[in-house]
Amino acid sequence: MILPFEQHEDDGLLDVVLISRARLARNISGEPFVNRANREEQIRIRDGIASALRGLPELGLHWFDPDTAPSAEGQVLLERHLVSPKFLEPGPHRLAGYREDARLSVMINEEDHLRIQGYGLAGGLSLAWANAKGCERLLDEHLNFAFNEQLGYLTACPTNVGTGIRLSLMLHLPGISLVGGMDRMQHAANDLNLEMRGTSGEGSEAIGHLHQISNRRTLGMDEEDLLHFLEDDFLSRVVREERRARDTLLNTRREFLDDRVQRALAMLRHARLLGEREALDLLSELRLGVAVGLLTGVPLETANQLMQRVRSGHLTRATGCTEEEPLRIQRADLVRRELGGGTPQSEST
Amino acid sequence: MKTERHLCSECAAQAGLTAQEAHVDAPTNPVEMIKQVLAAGPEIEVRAAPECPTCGSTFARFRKMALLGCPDCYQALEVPLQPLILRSQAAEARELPEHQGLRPSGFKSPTQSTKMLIRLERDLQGAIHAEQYERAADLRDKIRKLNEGIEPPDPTE
Ligand SMILES: [Zn+2]
Ligand SMILES: [Zn+2]
Repeated sequence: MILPFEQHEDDGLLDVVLISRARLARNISGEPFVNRANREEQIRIRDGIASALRGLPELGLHWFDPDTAPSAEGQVLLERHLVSPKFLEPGPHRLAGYREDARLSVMINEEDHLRIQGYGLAGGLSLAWANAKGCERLLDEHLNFAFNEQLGYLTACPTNVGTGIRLSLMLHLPGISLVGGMDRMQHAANDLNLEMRGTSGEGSEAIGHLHQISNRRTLGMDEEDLLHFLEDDFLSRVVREERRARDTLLNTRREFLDDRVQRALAMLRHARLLGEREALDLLSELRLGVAVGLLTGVPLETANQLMQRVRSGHLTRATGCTEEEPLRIQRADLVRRELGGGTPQSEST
Repeated sequence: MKTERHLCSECAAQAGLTAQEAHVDAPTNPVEMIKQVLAAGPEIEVRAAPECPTCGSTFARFRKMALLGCPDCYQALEVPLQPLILRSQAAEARELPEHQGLRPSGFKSPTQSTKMLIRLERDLQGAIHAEQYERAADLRDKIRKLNEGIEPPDPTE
């Protein structure tokens, strides 16, 4: 099987979609689910899956053991979406594998014995799916997954039963949000049986206008049909609406929009202390300014990368800082450096 | 061969109830007829408060944890789980749709006789619902024959 990791991806939706992910849930036949497994069973399950994965060097996985690795490393993987918050909670004998290029990750003994996650840049949902499927099909030859004819793959939570698939897209929707269209979008998603939530968690306000959309349906619809449904019925629509909202703002309320963007840029260029949440919200405005062409000279890619680099885990890894205030200073320094703001020594430049 | 029977919770509760009244002899009332039809089937197990024979999980545990204990829980707790899965999938259909998509490469596609069996079981359930007990008994015989590997019934029947 040719793995699609190196495949070229289309970044035509990068102005609205940050990342695509396809997750598959699998469990080993004849073993209790993680929540019901004792210590020995958890270790047996972990080692069985890990040994199958280690036998597949073509996957190019690095390993992360949350029990022995420094916690900042886990935080970095979390911020790269390669592991889940639940995976980092103290718990059973877990293990994660990931590709350094972030095209693939696996989590062992999270909610299910195995979760395979494939990724694609921007709206690259097909690539995300191809990455996850490629890994799953290779493992299928070595592991015996719990499955039945009627219900498909059997998962610890019955809401995943069937394909065990969760396709998700990270969307940047400042336009729809600023024209007051989020409620309508939320309803539209709900009507399509999709779940939409802000990045800070369910129900709460979205940090940096970032929203995650994912499917609920896992039974009776195959993975490809679901993928096309999500792309054709939802993604194309949300991208169109977000772009239209940005155009409307640009055409009818240009000063309002420009003011937000310029204020954000000024703050980012001159702040001496920056909290994580504040930095993300400001970078979101910056990203919007770049996407609609109000800011030139800052590539969209720089804004995207900064949104990851200002996260605490990344910053701790880069600087060695763990304390809150030094981190705020480091965050402000990083942003100023990248966006060409003044350094404390040469204030006037 | 193992067979699965899909019952609504009402039916199951009824059947579980009658199964506890062990020593009633003459099948004079409809409930008794159902009991006999069910009792004559090869591997039917319906209990009022089911427990997974493999891991010991109950529906109460599932309620508390929102997680099942093992793959066999799906069969053991089928009756209370089914409406829940239906709701979470928000499918318009009243019955659970059948799995579509990837499957383990070692897993064979359902054979003709398995498909026939699934259809007969569905018919049997319908017959019980419609209180057509003679038809139900007839269908039950066909299922048993099919399970025993005796020549399959004429599909046009
Ligand atoms: Zn019924
Ligand atoms: Zn069980």
